[in-house]
Amino acid sequence: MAEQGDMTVVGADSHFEGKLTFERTAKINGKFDGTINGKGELQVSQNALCKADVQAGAVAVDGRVEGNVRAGDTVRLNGSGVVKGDITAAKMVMQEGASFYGLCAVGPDAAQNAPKPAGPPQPQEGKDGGKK
Amino acid sequence: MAKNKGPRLVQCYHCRHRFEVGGRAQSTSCPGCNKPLIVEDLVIDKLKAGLIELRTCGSITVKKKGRIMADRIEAHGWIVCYGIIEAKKVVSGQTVVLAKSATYRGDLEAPAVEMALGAKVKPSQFAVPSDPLGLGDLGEEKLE
Repeated sequence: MAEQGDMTVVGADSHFEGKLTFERTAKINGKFDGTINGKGELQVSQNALCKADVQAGAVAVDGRVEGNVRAGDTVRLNGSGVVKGDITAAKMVMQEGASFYGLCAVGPDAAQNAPKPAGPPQPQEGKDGGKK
Repeated sequence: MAKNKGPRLVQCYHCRHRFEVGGRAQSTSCPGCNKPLIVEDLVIDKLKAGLIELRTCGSITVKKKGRIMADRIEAHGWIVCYGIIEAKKVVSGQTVVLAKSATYRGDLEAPAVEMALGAKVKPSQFAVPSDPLGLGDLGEEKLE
């Protein structure tokens, strides 16, 4: 896990709306609405709600994600994780107890053939960033 | 074959009638609808292709060199896949385990799924957890 200083964190008492881009690690502890693009790892914590289309290098889900998830490397859907949306990844780990409703495509081919999200990653911005 | 020698409760996959079978039973007829039933635990260690349906009241294990190609696969127990499963629809009454060597394709409904790092999934619709077979309380019912 990256050091706190290298991590973008949406706090447990925060509700973020907009588009988030990150380079290394991002962690959603609260609520997020929008889109997420990153090269590193996105972590969705146990009580977090993430209504977003996600593209990242790796995604670890302990909370709830409503939207499509695309990872260049690994998606980890842990026991408390819930995903309602499609998952496309090179590799995936799913633990017993996890919930997943959507289309699943896992493998090197799946990651290459998946449609890429519209537009290149933009600098971090948000309409109501940090609104509590 | 089941190692447990005691009777166990099964549910007919034709009419959903529940009844007891011996622990070593491999097949039987449903007393509710008189249709034949497979109740054994199936182990697939070679190609089984061209099947319309593969159904059992027990479990299915697909070994590393095993491959199932079927329209529908239904197991009332768990499904463990080390090899290849290709189906249109897969339903399970218990956990589906996709090992790191597994390749899987098929719309899946199961109470739980465990997927290991390295397993490959061709585009398939997942609904987890779900209880498509209505087996949720089967283990809780006591044998008379």
